Order: sequence, then C-alpha cells, then structure tokens
Amino acid sequence: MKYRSSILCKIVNIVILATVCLTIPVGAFAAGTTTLKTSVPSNHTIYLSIDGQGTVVIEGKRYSKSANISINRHNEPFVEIQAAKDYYIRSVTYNQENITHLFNNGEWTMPKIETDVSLSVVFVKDSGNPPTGDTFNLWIMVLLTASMLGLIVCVLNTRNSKLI
Amino acid sequence: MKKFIALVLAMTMVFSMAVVASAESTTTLTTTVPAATYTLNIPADAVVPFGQQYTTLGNITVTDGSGFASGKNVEVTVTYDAFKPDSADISTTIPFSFVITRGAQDQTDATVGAGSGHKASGSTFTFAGKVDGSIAEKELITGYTGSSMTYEYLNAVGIYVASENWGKALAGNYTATITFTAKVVAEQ
Repeated sequence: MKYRSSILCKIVNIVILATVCLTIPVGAFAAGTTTLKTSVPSNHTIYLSIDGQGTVVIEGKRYSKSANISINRHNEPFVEIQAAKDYYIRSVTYNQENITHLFNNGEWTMPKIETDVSLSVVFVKDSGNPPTGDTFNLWIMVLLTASMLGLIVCVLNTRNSKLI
Repeated sequence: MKKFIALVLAMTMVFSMAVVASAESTTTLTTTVPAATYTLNIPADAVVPFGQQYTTLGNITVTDGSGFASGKNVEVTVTYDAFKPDSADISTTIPFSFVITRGAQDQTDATVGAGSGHKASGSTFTFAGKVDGSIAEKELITGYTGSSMTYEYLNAVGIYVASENWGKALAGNYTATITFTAKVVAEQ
C-alpha cells in the first residue's frame, strides 16, 4: 500500500513539474502602467461673425454684431436670422460650410454641439441687384427685351402691309 | 604457502583484467545560465487634450539587458481599455486605440498620426536578445515591399480617439490605464 502511494506521489509530482515548465516563461515578469487623463468640457463656444446690418437670434438672445457665445454641450441651439431694412442675407456659413440654403424663413436648428463651432452671417444692402451676385442690371434687360419685341412686331407689320 | 601465494597472484590478475575490461572515464561539464535582467521603459503618464485625435505618448524600449542570447527575447504585452469617467454620474466612456509609428532605427522625433498602425489590446512587441548577451533597444519589425525585405523599428507609440467618440462623451473627467507586461521568452 505504502509502495503504491509512493509511486502515485511521483507521478503527480512529474505531472505538476511538466505543467509548470510549460506555463512559466523563462525569466521574471515586469509590469508598468501609463495613466491617461482627459476632460470633456461642459460648455462650448459659438464664434458668431456678423457682417452687414441685421440680427442673429441664438437661443432667444439677439446679436447684431460678432460675439463669442457660450453654449451647453450637446445642446441644439435654435437660430433666427433677420436682415435689417434694405438688407438681405447674402450667406450663412457654419464651420466654413455654406448653409444658406438650409434656412427656412430665416430659421435653422444647429446640430448637436460637441465642440467649438463658428457661424458667419453676411448681410448685404439691397441695391436692386439680384441677390445672386449678378451685376447685370435687371431693368436694362427688361428694356432690351421690350425693344426686341417691338422690333419684331414692326417687321411683321411691314411685311403684312407689303403683302396687302 | 605456495598455494596461498598462487591464489593471491591469480586473484590479482583476475581483478586487474576486470578493471581493464570495464574502464570508463567521464568529463563533467557544468554551466550556469544567468537570470536575464533588463529595464523596461514605458511612456510617462499624460493628459490628453479634449478633441485631439492623435496623441504621441513616447516609445517602448528595453535597455540595460544582460543574460540574453539569440532567441532569448523580451516580449511586452500591451493591454488597455476605454477612458472611464471619474464620476459614477457619467454614463459614457471614450474608446481609443493604441497606435504605433515605425521608421529608421536612428529616428528620434517620431510621432503618431494618420499613417500609424493600430494595435488591439493584448498585442505584443518583441525585443530580440543578441549574441553578446545584450538586448535590442527597439522592436524590429520586418516586412516586404515587393520582393525585398524591409526593416523598420518601433519609434513612437500613442493613442487615437475618433472624433465621434469625443462627440458622444458627456462632460466630465475621464481616466484610462495602459498596462505594459514584460517577460523573458525563449523562441520555440
């Protein structure tokens, strides 16, 4: 009985030794850590730029000149733009992207604020020029069209009278 | 008396012959494998600015190596997890990935950026033991460009935080830990 248990002990020892040899690497472990820290701000800044005469209303507050506006993170501010009398909205740029076409009746909701952003509004005095920026006078075009029509009518009348 | 002397002589002869027949000599060689020692150098703690996508932390190097040999290397495992909020009131985390930059061996001003490689948590870096008993300071990364072999070295490590991950995070302070575990391994 004693002999048997001694053999069993040897077998167990050999198995344990073999297992240890397979899992323990040569040499010792060494470990270190690098700790990283960061802070996510609770407010962001809207860098509002206004060029020309008009007002920009952001979250109910009215601005008629450029300003840096603090806004809560993840807010979606409501923006209203109103040109002054005899002025029109030439362009609205959000983070260097032209978004003039996104305004409906001068109103627009900004996307969720996740970082500092810029909003630039340009008002231009309405001098009768088309808002497309085309410098060709509309009245001259109307006059030229009318003249051409008159000329055509005259030519047709002359032809008709000759035929009679 | 004669019989006794004859017996002694006979025995002497027999024993001497036996010794000659089974003669064996051994040379015993002994050696001591020294414990490999080294210094693992890892990036220092850092503050990551909000919104910054790539942040260079430094490099992983192994110096002051002794007791190494060809095929006896140091393997460094990098494990990490997302930035966790310091306050229990904040429910968001900021995931990031560990990035590396490779280059020439003597490059000292390397940074991580758009061209850096991404390494998942649990990735390993191997620093090769040398014939002279020392160890390579930088990890050597071999590859192929067409049919020719290329040799590049680990020159910078850092982290990459995608812009959308910054965007989703709620306001507050966050902490992340990168763990570097080194061990001496023998090539199989």
